[in-house]
Amino acid sequence: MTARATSRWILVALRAYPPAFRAQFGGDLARTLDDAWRARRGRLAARTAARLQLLATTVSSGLAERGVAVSRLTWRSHRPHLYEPAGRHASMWDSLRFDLAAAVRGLTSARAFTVLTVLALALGLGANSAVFSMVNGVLLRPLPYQDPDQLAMVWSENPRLANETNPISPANFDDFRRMSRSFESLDYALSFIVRVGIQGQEDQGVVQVLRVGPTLLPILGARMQLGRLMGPDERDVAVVSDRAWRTRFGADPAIIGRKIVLSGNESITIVGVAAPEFVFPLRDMLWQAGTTTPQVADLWIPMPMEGPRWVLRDGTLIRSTHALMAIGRLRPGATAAQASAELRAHAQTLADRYPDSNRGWSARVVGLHAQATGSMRVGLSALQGGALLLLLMAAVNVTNLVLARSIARQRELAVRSALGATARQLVRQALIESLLLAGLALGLSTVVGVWLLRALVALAPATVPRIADVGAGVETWAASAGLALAIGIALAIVPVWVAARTDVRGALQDGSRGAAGVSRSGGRLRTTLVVAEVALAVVITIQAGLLFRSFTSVVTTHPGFQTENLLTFQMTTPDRLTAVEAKRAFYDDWFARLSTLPGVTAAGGTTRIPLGSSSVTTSARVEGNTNAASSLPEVEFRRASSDYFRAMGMPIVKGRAFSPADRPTDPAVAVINETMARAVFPGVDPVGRRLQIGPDPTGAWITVVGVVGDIRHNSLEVAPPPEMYIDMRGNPPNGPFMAVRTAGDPLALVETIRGLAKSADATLVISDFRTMSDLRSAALAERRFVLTLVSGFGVLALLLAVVGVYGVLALVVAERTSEMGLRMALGAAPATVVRLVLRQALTLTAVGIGLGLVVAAGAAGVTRGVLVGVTAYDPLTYVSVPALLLAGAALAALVPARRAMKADPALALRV
Amino acid sequence: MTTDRHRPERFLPLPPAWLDILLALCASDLHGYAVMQEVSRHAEAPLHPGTLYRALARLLESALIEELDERPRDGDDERRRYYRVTPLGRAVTRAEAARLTRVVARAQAANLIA
Repeated sequence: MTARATSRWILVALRAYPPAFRAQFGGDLARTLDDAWRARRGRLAARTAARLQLLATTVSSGLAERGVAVSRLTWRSHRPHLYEPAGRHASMWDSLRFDLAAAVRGLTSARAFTVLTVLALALGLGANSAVFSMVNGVLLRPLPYQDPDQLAMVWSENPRLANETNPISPANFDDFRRMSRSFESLDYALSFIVRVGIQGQEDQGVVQVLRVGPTLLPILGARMQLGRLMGPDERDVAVVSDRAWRTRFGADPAIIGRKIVLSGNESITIVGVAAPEFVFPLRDMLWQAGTTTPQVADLWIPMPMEGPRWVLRDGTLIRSTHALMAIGRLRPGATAAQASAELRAHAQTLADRYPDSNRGWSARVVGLHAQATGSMRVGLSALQGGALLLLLMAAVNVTNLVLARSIARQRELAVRSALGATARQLVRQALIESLLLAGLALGLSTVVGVWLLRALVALAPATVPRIADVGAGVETWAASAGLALAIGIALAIVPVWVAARTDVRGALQDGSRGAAGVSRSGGRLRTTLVVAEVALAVVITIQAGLLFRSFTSVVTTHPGFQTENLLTFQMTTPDRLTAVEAKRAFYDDWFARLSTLPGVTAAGGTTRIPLGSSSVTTSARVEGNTNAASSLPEVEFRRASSDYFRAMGMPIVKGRAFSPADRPTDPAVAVINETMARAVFPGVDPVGRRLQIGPDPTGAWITVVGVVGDIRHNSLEVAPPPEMYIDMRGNPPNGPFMAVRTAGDPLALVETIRGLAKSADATLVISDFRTMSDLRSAALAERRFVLTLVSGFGVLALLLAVVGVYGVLALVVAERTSEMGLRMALGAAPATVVRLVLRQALTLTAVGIGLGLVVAAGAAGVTRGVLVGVTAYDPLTYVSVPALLLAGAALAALVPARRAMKADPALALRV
Repeated sequence: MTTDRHRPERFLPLPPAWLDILLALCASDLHGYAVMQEVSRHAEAPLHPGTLYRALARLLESALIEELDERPRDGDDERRRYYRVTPLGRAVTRAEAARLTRVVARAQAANLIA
């Protein structure tokens, strides 16, 4: 019988067996399988099934044999076997194990190299994984709502206002909801959180309430852990957040159905407790999130639009008060950009129909995720970029180390290839060694990363959205593993590159001379790497420098008031005070007693405390201006007591502050800031002029009695807008902020003030005691956080660059010792030799700096958004960073230069 | 040590496939496919080629069988390999058969079989 063609399928199935097995039995087995294959007879279906089974069993049997091969090679036995390493049939696994053992031996013998390499990479990887965990947790993770990608916010946009995202008025919202085709559903909430007390729990401070449209929580897909959501037509009910349920109500499982009475005698029934993960709103969804208190809703209470608050006398909804935030679910397939375009068209229709209130107002739709993470995006992206650059620098440094080691091992490589090692084997050996290094670094980096992440979260300001549940997850680890793998593979290129340039014969004859060729090209690669490293350091350090300059610029910004010795707190007046007269009398008495407390030098109140609360705007019409309401200037608006400006330390520039002599009712009086004086009364003295606020042209006239200095209200970083104050005695507020100027430590007065509140009225709620210094510090927290990290990166980058320069020069000097000695033997002064080394160091650094400056200038656009008070091309930064690096490089070069200077001419001449 | 490694009892009890293969080879030297056919004629369960060759590998490693250098028949497929049982293999087969006989005797004593 002659050889027959074997079925292709059998040959494929045979690949499941280890090569050594195939070498031994392959032909026979193929022949046998072939016979069995032909022996399967019968109908096509039966035959096919039988043959498939034959193949399947062959494959599984082959895989089982592979398992045997691996175990034979892993646990040595005395019994001779098919997979003997020395045999001709050594398997892939066997040589892998051999290479691994060689790599472990190599790395343990070069301990300093291994420790340095693993440490550098682990730090780089760890920093990256920590920052990535944070970026993932804050920016990338889906929002805690159902199908969050479909959710979007609708804002009013008015080119005349600085803010692109303004709340919507009730009537416009109602029209948008009816007209929009892009949204499947759309509902609203008030664009700010209010703080109220609970009757009987006055001593526990306030709860934060968000008034919502009745279907908003269902649109978000809020899940309840107890009870239910509010019904569409329900009033006077509330859903409690998990946090408030635990802290305020002791996690009472019987809370459903409980009645509570809020400040203002508002009685509500609790119908549900939201699941722990449901947090709404996140900071940036609220309007002008310029506050330093994390704004979290404790209670969601339905607020029907038909309530008296929004309905005008003629029964229509109000169109000029912008107070709502709108959130909706887009139809499947619709994007925020399409919805924006659609609503813009509707806004134009409305502007044509209602020019008085709507001219100039357009609409803007922003994806909810983009909205909620927007303010942190630039800062965190900068951090991630910095961390990646740092890792790159660590990798470059490590590449230099590997290069030096490979050159030192040329002889070994030459011997191996002379003994018959193939190029493939050398590549595999190099790959295994560098992957082992990367693997060790990855292992260590998980520890470093967890530790760094803990530090990052502790350092981060509490206002960063979702910071509390940032943690290292699988994604983070996968990203780190991917980076480590890439570095491992990249590092393997170096020894292979060196080997490819090694002249085997030369290296074997004389290690030091034969290596000269590689040394030269290795030196070239090394210098290139150092130049790259210096360039990267310049990029990182310039960013750090610019952030530092911005920070100092913000820190030194004068907020317009005295922040030292100033205590603030919020209070909610007793509910028994309903009549305006009663409230006024209460405040007169309260301020009289507060300001005469020992240690208090002045005390005032306002509805909006700077750096601690959001703000509201209104339109202002100067007497004689008959323009449509929509073209009137918008000004920020708050109420204040007569002593407020003195307590805050705000200078009265013109006229006077409020006085107890001012009649609380008509004609009301106002104090405006300097910006408003310039913007609304250009070229005229505003004192004594009259204006109206709001769209109603028949409203009361208010007389300007004084001009006060500008203050930074929402943020230290934003220039003050026009601002006006009216006397709070005209319409005394229920929840004002107090500002108390003290002679000594402000916090020492807290207990005294609590006592005063108790004695004034047992149902008076006071909360949120904070010094203005703390508010100011909190306003700087995010910037300080980013600055701290980026500076840390900058310092590390400088260090790495200097170490890199040092490493290269040390090697260069070591290689040129005999040359140096020769020069000195021939009469060169030691100073000449030092100059030689220094010149080389400074040339390298200067080239790196030049390159780095170009890259940094090109990347300037990336961080421009977070810079304040300094341009992206700040000359001071662009000069001082290179100077610092040059100085560092010169210092790094001094050590090898000294060594070169001491080169012994006699030693050099001895051959 | 060598003697210990080559004690026939060390291999007992034999895996059923090993015994089937050894029995077939004790009768005559055979190639793989012939072993399979021979085993299938006597055994209850058919022997799959994959299983057969893995067992042959183990038997070779244990020196219970060896590969024939010469080919008993000319004109056969070049790929075929012939196997022969070694003296050790024969001893092991005998020991296993004796063990099984004792098993059968015990089963008879327990009145499980006639």
